[in-house]
Amino acid sequence: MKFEQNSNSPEESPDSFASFDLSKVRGSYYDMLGVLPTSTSLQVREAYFRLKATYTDSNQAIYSLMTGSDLAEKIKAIEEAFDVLRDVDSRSRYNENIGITERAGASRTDILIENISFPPVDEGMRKATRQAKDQKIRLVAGQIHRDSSLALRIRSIFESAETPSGSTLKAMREAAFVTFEDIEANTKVGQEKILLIENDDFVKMPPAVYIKGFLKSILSFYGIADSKAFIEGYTLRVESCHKKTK
Amino acid sequence: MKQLDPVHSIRNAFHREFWRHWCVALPNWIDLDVAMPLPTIIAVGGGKGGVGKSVISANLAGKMARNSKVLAVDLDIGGANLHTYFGIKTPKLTSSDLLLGSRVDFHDISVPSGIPNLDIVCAGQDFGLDRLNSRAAGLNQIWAGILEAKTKFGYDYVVLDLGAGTASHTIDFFLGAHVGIMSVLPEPTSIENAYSFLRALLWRMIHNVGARMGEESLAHSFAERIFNGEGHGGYSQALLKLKEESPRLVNGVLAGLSGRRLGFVANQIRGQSDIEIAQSMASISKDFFGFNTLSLGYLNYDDSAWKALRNRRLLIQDFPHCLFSRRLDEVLIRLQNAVRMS
Ligand SMILES: Nc1ncnc2c1ncn2[C@@H]1O[C@H](COP(=O)(O)OP(=O)(O)O)[C@@H](O)[C@H]1O
Ligand SMILES: [Mg+2]
Repeated sequence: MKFEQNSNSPEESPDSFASFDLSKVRGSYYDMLGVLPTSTSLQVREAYFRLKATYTDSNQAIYSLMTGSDLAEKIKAIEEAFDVLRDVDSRSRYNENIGITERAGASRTDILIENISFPPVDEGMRKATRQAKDQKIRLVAGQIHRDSSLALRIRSIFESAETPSGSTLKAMREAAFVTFEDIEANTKVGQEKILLIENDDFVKMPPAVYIKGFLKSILSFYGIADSKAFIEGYTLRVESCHKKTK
Repeated sequence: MKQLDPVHSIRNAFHREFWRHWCVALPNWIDLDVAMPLPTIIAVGGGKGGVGKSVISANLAGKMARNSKVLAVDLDIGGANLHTYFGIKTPKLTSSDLLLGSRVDFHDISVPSGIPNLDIVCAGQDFGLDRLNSRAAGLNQIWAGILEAKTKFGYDYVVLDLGAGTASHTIDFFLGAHVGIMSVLPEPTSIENAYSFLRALLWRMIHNVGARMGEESLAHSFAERIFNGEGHGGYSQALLKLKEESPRLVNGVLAGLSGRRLGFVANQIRGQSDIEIAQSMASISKDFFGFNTLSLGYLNYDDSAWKALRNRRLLIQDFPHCLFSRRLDEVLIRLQNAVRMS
């Protein structure tokens, strides 16, 4: 039954999200087709046919949603994405171009946030996005400092921490409503490192000296300057764990 | 000692995962304590009248009550008929009494449905909607009754049968659900109203998130821009483009979108070509609106529906093996997977 197959669309299996950098997928051809870099070519093909069947005038489910020209634009974008992803070679060239690499898992909620469609991008558009991203960096950082009630709230989360631990950073991130991607863009600390720190996953962490630097940038991103005690307490925990496991 | 995030203390994995993101789009005046165990809330809406919201609510609640304690709440204020599907008369006390400010408690107005483990809260027939404003004290009491259904009365599930239209209290109740079910018929009028409903949902969500973050006017201007012009090729794309202007607000809305699920049911299916509609609308709602959607399947047009109604018995009681009931089983399985209950 067609019906059964459909219920297994990619968004239903969250586990398959876990192994690549989601920020790279955003706005890509994968996004356009609603598939993932881990999707098989069969899944890509299926997604393409499903979208083609969805965005046509004869589909009654589209009624009242879009004008004829919006529809034509949409179909053009779908074709463009499929043209690249249908073929193994052009797909791997494309992956290289947009820099899709493996990385450690993200939490499901972040995945859900990132799991939202974007139009396809060409080189020019990507450049513009990169520039915009540079601008955003200042914006995001400025945002937290400007919004004094938010800054206070984040500060109070920081101060209420009894022991320096990753859960404090996680609570700060959630209160600030920033994503891993935002933090990475502002601090240059990789998303997987941020995740390790938030999870207190000491075993997988690089040596404590690096962690010191990461923590400093992350905390100053949140507008916390007097972070010395926290950082020292945290790195002590990292060191003692690393000693034990040696 | 490892310091625990309060959300960690929520026992149900589904609620734990969604809690923060679900909360952010609730009406601003609702202040929830993380520590309070919640029932799993399922709303049935769809924008149009007569699309099967009440039949689905009643029978789904009936099926869920086999394994869990369920409360069904009629929120079609002024057009109530959930009780009729159970074959019970409007009780003396209804949610109208709450809304009109009589001194009754939410618990006083729930009555046994005739099915074990399933109680219902009826709405009045004659309550003028115009007298209701979305912050009315009575409305507050209904919200509290729903949210406290687990802690105070032990209900595992609350099923909300919503009214037609896009009144702000209807939209808010839909946002209050962990899973919102959209019932649609395979006909243009129903589809058109479903999209109006989704637009109202996104519009309201942006405003609710904005209010919660103290950014009302920014949220309003974002919503205006998304719905008047910038979003013609898709609201989710227009929303993401605004991220540079206020990452915090846009992330908040994205969180709200991901913190609740939107499930489509195609009702009164008469042929093969109608079956696709739930899947198609689910993928459009994800792609175009950015909702966290899924297709819950379809329900056939079935004469048993009116036969059972004439007998004033629940469809699944009178005709447990009819096509409608069997398809509803499939819908329930998908729903259970979505909230990982059972
Ligand atoms: N799948 C179905 N097959 C046959 N009749 C149906 C079906 N679904 C709904 N109906 C009928 O349609 C009418 C409207 O349904 P109802 O659930 O009251 O709509 P709503 O609550 O959305 O206004 C009722 O008479 C109901 O019996
Ligand atoms: Mg009804």
